[in-house]
Amino acid sequence: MQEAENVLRILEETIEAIKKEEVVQLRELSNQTIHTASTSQDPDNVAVAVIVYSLSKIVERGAFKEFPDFEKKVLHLLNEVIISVKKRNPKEIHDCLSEIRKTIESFSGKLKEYIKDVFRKASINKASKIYEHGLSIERTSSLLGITMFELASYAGERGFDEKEEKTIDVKSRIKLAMEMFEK
Amino acid sequence: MKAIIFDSGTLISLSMNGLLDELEKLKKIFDGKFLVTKDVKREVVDKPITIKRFELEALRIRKLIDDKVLEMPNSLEINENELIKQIENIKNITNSTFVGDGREIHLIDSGEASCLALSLLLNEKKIKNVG
Repeated sequence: MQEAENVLRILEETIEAIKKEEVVQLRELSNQTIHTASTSQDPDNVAVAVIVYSLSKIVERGAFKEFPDFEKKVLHLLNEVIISVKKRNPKEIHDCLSEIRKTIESFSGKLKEYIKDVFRKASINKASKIYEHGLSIERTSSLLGITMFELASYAGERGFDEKEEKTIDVKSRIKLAMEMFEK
Repeated sequence: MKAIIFDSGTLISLSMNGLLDELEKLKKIFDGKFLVTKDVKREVVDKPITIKRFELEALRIRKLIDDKVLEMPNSLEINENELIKQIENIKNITNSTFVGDGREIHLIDSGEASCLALSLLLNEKKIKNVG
């Protein structure tokens, strides 16, 4: 795992944010993992971003209040991930992250479908953030395990801050298009 | 002869917004070819056609290929092997240009690379093109 110290801090702060039900803080923490996830393209860094974002949605819905045992289990698993990151054991980190995702996804009852949907949407949201970092749409989709249609649709609705990008202005674009269509 | 090369993102946007018909109309007034590469076709037709949610969009794009609104590079006698060679070359350069934490950052895959490669080969043939 890349930038283990940073991930460690994020996971520790995630636990605190869950306990205090700080949804905004959880979302910010999830975004803080994105830069590393974009450059390293390490699946575990990507998984941390998706899991933390999903947790923010679960907290927002009040699911942990409704199901305290579920919260207990998730916090326990997050602690397990922290221990494995501290040990710098890549296999254990990977296994722990997979376990946390499986546990959340296997939650039975009325939350099951909601949580599956949360993970899917979290993956698309994180993909759009990685896409903003300059990776191609194809590369980003494959990294997050989503389709290009899902990413394109989300990115299209959301739009990006393009202030720093240098691109052809609209006038020149139209001129070029008109030239191409001239007989 | 002129050509417009379509990448996946463009076709996906047009398809999801119900604007593929416009492409047909534009083709009628365009003195050239609308091109898609095999890699792009894989991304916008072959793969999504297997996913129920995106099957309709994929079918719409496939119809454009069947109707020859969108054509493959061989319609302009682009050699498949040369294209593959150029794609690999572009991928190698692009995906080793930026380095983060001592590792090369993988930026693009075959779809985007194939559009750039096709554009280069069309330039060699002096065929005006945009993507």
